[in-house]
Amino acid sequence: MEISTSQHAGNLVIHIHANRLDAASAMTFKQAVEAALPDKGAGIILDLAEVSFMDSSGLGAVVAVHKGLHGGQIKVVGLQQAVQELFRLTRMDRIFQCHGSVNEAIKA
Amino acid sequence: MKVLLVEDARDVRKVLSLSLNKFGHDVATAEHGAEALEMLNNQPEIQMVVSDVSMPVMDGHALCRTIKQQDFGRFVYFILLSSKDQEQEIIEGLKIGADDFITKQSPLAELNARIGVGQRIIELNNELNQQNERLTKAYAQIKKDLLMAAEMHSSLLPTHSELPGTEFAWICNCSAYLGGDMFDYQRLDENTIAFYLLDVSGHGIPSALLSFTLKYAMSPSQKGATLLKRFISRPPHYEILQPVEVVSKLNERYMSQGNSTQYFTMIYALLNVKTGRVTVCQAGHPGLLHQTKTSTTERSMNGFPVGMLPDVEYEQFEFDLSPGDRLFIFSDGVTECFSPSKEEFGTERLIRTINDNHHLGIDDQAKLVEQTLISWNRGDQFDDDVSFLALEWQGL
Repeated sequence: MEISTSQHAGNLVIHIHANRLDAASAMTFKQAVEAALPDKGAGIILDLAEVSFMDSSGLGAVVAVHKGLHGGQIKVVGLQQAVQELFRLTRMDRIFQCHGSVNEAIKA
Repeated sequence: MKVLLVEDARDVRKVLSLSLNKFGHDVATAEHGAEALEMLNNQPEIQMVVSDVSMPVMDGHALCRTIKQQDFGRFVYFILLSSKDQEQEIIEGLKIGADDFITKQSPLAELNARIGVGQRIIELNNELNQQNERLTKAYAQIKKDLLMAAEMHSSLLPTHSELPGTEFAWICNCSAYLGGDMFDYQRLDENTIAFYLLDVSGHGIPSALLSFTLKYAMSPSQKGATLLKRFISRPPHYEILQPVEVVSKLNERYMSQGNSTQYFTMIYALLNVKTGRVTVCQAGHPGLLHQTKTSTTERSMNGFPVGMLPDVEYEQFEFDLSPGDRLFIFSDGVTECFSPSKEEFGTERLIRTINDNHHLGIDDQAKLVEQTLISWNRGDQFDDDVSFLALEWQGL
């Protein structure tokens, strides 16, 4: 699992470079994102634009990162249709602010 | 190190034997290949053979070939002893498996050094063999345990197919020996049937452990105590919990702790067998399919998964069945089953499959769904647990 980070107007953006976020990659995803995280309480933007499929383990890992932030907000951007559908079905769209792009997330 | 010296010339045998002794080796001797083989069979501590090429009865090449082909249950290192002018014999010997060669004219210290090299390789081989043995044993044990656990999982699945006014059928196919899917149905009182299907995140042992626990938690105890009813003082002294109450309770009780990211999605529902009214709490799980005489529709509502986030609100919804209507609940392993060309099976195709076979009995209909999935997947080894529960309400 490859991830990269960038800064946009003072926000840390974590880009996930993987087609699938599933049982095989969930653990590495969680560790890689946690390693890139800022101090507790800060928020991040998670760019999932490249992820076309996410299973229950993948979703569990995203929620684990959210819990690890201890109140810090995760904004999720670039959800593809299947992932968006999963977020809607599991009401994760009420836990995470979902936006079309990094710019929209920053303005919101 | 015990060295087996194979040499037909008595004087050479004696000189070499004495020298090797001086270098600290324990030496056994044989006059030809056949005798050497017999000694190898009887003395399992021998792993080093130094052998002449030309000998009566069985020569060095034949001996080497036999040693390298036969399974002595241990690795045997083979050094070919030759004369300087026997280049062809040396090449042939190495081809058939000799590990090293030395000419009889070489200094004895060199022979000893080469035996030392062999000893290192023998030790490495022995270590590898031991590790392999341990791994094989451990693997066999794990496999046995997994199969037993898989049997347990199967034994937890429902065995009867009928409750008053209602008929059930199901399929269950786990991805990795045993799975995190669980489902059941039970009669709560003369009017009410409860049924559920849940899917623990991930697969394999960790998921199965939670699914086993949940199955027991949702089953009535021997004395009849159950999570699905509560005691009240007025007759009939019990009250059936609403689906939303059951799911909220499970969320509280099975909240993932610490580093665990485990949770589950589920549908828990009650069916009133007198009226056909269905009450459903859908917790992050794919929706139900409702088949009437004329069509099949999805009945779905978003909801949080269970055990993922504390203090979240759950909701329930209701609808009515007509006699003969069927309901289908399933894990996402059904709709997210991918064909070899990476196409998802999907809800639409599942609805079509169900519709195309609505004339069949519920059991055959479920079997046909399974067959369709297997041919979509090109085999019965699925990437995710596949479970599917069907019920038909016959009406009273």
